[in-house]
Amino acid sequence: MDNMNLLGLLFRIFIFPGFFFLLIAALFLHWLDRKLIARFQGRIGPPWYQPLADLVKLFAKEDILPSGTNLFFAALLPLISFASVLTASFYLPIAIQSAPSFQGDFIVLMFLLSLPSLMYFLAGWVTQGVYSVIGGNRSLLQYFSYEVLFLLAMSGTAIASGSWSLADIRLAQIKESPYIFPQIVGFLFSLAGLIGKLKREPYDIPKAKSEVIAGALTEFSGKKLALWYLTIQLQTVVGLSFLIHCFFSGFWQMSTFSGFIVFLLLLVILQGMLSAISAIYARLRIDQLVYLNWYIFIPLTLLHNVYILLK
Amino acid sequence: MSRITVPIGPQHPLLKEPLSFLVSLEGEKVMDSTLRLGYVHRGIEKLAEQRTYIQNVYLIERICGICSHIHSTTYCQSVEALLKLEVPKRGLYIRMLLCELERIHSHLLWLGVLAKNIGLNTLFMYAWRDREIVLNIMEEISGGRVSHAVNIIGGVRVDLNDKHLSLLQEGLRELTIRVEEILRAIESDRSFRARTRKIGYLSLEDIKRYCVVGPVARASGLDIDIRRDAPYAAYNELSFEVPLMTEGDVWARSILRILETIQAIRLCTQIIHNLPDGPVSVSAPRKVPSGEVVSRAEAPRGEVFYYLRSDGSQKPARLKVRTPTLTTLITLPGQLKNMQLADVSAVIAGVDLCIACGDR
Amino acid sequence: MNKAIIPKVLRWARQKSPWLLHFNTGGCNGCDIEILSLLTPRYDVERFGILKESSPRHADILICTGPVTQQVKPRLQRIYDQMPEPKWVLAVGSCSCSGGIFSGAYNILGGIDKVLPVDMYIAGCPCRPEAIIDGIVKLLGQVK
Repeated sequence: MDNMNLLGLLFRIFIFPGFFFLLIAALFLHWLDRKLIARFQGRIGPPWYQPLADLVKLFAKEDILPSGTNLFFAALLPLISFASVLTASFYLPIAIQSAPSFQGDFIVLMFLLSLPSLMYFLAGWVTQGVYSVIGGNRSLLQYFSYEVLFLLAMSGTAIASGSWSLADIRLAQIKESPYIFPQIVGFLFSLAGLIGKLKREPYDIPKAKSEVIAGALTEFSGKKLALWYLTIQLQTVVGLSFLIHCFFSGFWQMSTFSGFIVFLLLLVILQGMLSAISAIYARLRIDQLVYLNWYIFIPLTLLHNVYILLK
Repeated sequence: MSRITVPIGPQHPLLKEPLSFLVSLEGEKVMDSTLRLGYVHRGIEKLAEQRTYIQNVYLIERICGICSHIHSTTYCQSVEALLKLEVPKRGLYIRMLLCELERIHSHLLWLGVLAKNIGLNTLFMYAWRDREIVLNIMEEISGGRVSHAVNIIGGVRVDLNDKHLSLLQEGLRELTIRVEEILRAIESDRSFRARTRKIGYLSLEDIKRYCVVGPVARASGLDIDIRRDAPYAAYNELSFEVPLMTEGDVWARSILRILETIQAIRLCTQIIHNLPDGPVSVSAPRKVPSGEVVSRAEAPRGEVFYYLRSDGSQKPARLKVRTPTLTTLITLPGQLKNMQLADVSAVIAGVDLCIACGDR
Repeated sequence: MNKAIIPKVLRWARQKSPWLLHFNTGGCNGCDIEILSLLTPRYDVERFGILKESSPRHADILICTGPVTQQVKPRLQRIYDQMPEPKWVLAVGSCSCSGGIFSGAYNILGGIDKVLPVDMYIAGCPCRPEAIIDGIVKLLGQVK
């Protein structure tokens, strides 16, 4: 490998569309989320630097854990989830075609995006607090309903393009039209699945404040908490980019400036949808969530997929 | 299946005040719960015996910050009854006005807390935004947003002027619109209904057995309201309805409280239209003749009961306060049984606890 | 140069992101509802980055209302110990400053400073929300 290529690779890993860009996007979307929700509620909301200040402060805080906690695992779990989200971002073409696409990277991405939820569950067990354990258990219960929904709804795009490769999904959309129009139902259910993944209202059962304090993260503080928060914020960007790639590809040219702007615009619009949903709905109860997902959303998604298959 | 015990409180986002709930869970289902009170017990009843009647007006206001005015009203009523004082009509009307404003403020506050607990933060923000209108009015009248110190023995400390009246009219008009909007919203909102329907059910028999009073009792169909059944101040001169529902769940309690808020707004309008002229207070002697008296009033959470015994000195010999919260607290373990953990927050918020009242 | 910048950044972050933990140590509710109204549209302290957290482990400022009662004392101590450094304690309301109107009662120990080191006292019965915001701002002004 020659020098230019290596530099380019490093640039792609650390600056764009790698870690640095993701970090900026994650902080920006998190701020946008809080600002929008505040505006919906008739408040002014935090200034633009708020997520950054929160993270810096948390990184500089004392890191304590309850006695009896396995310190190794307590440190490992947020790292694994952070790493898995970052790895996922490399397989995902964010505005520019990045990683080499291969048959099945769709599934790899799915797996990498679902790892943080599992780590979240384990985090509850590792820290041993009552609320942590309940929060972890709830996240696992929820996991089985939204993860299936997310996979099924997203795989509609793979079925329609006839390939499990992200690049092919994009090519198919450029050839025909973006999947958002024929698969609007699939898109909405994917969004619901993503909300579950991100543990946002109304799917915020594992971290419901008035019930289990802060869920599995109750006992975390300092750096580890910051890492967890950062993971969730990064997950928002990666998840939304995944959705944009699978449903909106074809609206922009890859690796051009205008394409980049369109991509960012879509990111902001989708984040706005997430914020609006958060502001409108009350938190669901776990039985209502399971009912909603298994009896209504998943059968509808299956029907939708069958329709796509037959078409 | 093994059980785990979840402590709720003393420090818990669900409760503003320290109260310890030990909820025993099987999975997500609540099997059993025990209650521990007394974190906020300050010994106010004993403290009242060490202070004079006049000092006690300010102490009694600090039993509870949300319903401070109704406590001092009931206390002043009982002292006035012992003194056989005739409070001027205008004073009584201003007292009632503050009582009703306080009811509006308390119910909107409660709605916000319930909404926050079921994860509907937007409704929390809206309810508390509208509550600021009432707080503004109360601040303009009395000088305090939460504690008013309006009552004195023999009447009230403040008089209403034209500026207050126009502020009141404007504020109440705006509030009517906002509260009706909130009522429409929570009647139709599906996610609110899903989280509150058939939660925390109390039957009419249970209500009677536990002596529950106030909106919780009225939501289960028990028609009880001290303002109508045993009128104090000048409530017999005003006309109002007592809303009644029969569902007996958290949803019914929410709707009922909003309906009561609307009634309270109407009462306020009536009061400012029928406000009599004259003085607002009469002077009261420092020493209270010996005797005992019982005084009752309808607080936002139900009936408040005061028993006062005097031995002829400047200080009360015994003061007993019974607040509505204590009876509703006892029903909580029964209401929680077989509920889900997620419903615990809705149930506890739904009965509108005021632990500072309960513990004193 | 490094030595000069890092403390500055930290100071900035700590000033801009104070997360509160609210604990009622036996107060009358008056100050508590004023603390809650800080979050609502009229005062909206999220403008200043203030959030009300629910776990002691996430919080920076312990905001106490009410006098300390006998029963609540061990719990108050425990909550303080659970908070990670750097942490501050804010006594809100006259009775949490000194015991206020309740001093002399048999179940009251006095102000918060009988149990914890208090960094800022906010008087008022109950405190106005503006006073609480002012107290937090003054407290943050002292942050190093």
